[in-house]
Amino acid sequence: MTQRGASLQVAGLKKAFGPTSVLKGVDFSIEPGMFLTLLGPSGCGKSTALRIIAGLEPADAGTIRVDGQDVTDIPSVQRNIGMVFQNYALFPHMSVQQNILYGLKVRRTPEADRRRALSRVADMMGLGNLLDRRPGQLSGGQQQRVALARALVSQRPLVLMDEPLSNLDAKLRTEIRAEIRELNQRLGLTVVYVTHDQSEALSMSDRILLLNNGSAVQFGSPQDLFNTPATVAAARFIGTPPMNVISGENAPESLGRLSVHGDAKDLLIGVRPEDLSLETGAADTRIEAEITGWEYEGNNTLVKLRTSLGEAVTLSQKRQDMPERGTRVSLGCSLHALRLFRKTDGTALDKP
Amino acid sequence: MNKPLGISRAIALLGVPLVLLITFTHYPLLQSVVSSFWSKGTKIRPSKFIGLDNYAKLFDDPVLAKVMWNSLIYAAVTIPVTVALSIAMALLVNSKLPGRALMRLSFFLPTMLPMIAVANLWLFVYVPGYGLIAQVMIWLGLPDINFLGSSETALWAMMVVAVWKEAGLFMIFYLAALQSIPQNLKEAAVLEGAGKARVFRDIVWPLLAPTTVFVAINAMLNAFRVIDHVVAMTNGGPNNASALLLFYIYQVAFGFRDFPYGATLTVLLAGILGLFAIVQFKLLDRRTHYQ
Repeated sequence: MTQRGASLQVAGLKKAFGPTSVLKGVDFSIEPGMFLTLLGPSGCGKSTALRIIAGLEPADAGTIRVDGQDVTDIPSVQRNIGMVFQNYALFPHMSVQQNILYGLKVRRTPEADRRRALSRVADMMGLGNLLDRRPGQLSGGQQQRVALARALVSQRPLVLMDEPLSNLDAKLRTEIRAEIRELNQRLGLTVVYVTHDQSEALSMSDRILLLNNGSAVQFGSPQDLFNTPATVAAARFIGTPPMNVISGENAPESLGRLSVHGDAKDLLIGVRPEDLSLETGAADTRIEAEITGWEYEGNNTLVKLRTSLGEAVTLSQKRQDMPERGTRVSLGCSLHALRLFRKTDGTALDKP
Repeated sequence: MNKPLGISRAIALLGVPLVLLITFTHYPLLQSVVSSFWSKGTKIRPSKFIGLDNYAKLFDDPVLAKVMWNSLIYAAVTIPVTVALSIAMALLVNSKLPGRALMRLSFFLPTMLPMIAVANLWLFVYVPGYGLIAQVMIWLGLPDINFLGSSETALWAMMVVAVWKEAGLFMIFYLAALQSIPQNLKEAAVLEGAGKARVFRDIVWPLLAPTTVFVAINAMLNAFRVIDHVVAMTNGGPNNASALLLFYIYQVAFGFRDFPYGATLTVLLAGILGLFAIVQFKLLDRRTHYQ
């Protein structure tokens, strides 16, 4: 069974609460069936954006189009949008079945259609034997599935999710993450998903909109955001551990070889921990540093270092043998792994 | 962390509340039951054991029938009206209207006043000729009514005072309950197409149920417990039109000095209140555990 997703265009979205501006003109556009993640640190405006799309909060300026139709000023229910709330928002006094069918009941869907819709989502989410329970009698993962079932039962083409996995333990989170992604692909639903967890965003999304302080930092595919961060902020937010950003003075000669004009002091060098190497063999460029410690993570080891300018650098390697603390080393890396940013405003220089 | 308490210290700690409870609650109640089996003593004829005669008297006491009927009407009207009014006020002061701090204060003010002060205030409102209502009625060209002085209106006038005084207190309970309902439950319902009235009926009202049970039982107890306004405003009159059960007990025991019959009535009242307490706990157990 497939259903078509809706396209979504958001243009110039602005919102202020009193003197605090939480959204300062946000634009993005996604195709039907896409999985978009609004990603950013807490307080960046991602949840507010979602609530405005849902119609729970009015926008100060800007337009929202669902399938080309301007829905900015019409009430939530007519926008034909499903939503999964952060704490599930299940009605505690209703059974699972009543929770799932609440919307259909309010909208006076015929009884036969209700029964069909219920058995469809109950099968899909594996809730068949829980239908008479109350939400309080369910585990976190089961509650999450009920919330998803409630959002899916009306077959609305656009579903919004506000940090739906934040209350689950790590193992369940990866399980349900895969389930949500699978639903999105199998049903052709358009999903707008809010999270502060960059690994969630990278693993689930077709598109990521990275927000910071109410402005869009970067909009693109997970690969775009990981490989070519548009700003220092994006570089520092994405990746576990995130990209190292050090002053250009640490490796001035490599900047020369990248034929970048201008003073090394005005630039920042970004390099991913997995692109640095402790090997002494040939490397395009080298950065001098001292080992300050390490973290063993099983499949790899994070080595903590400090450059001669006192900046912290992390290196990730497969090797498990640990050099001593205080050892002075020369970190090798290839030139194409380097990302350069302007110190003034943090924006990336064009790729070499 | 918690070391078990020595047995002697446990007895000492339990003993203090036990002594207080026995002295002021259990012993007097027991004493009432005992004296309800005895006749009224006079100088010539001392009090003697008469078994259940006082209880038989309950059934052919026309005044008791009247005050029971009054109490029933009083409870049946004031409880739902108080519940409805206090929910309405709680919704009002819970909304984002300007000046809601002032509203909360003014709704709560009647609760802070002693009942005697409230009764005096309302005496002025009801007094015929120049009271607040009378002046409005005269200004509108309507006949002046002696609300407290006529048997048709006295009980109703009393009920208005009780509702006015109690709704503010119960508003506080409802306000707390309203604020504990997560906002996103209402939003989830709105997204599904529920209007304001529907959200209240399907989400807010059911989640207020535990508070409603609590408020209804307390309003019920107050309907049988509070008679300050009866004493201050009508003294039960005219012709027992505004007398409630507790007021009648007070009259019998301390007015007519018929302590055994007063004790019998007290046992009746204690029985009624005990029944309510059982109903309350049954209801609370059954329908309030969602989590």
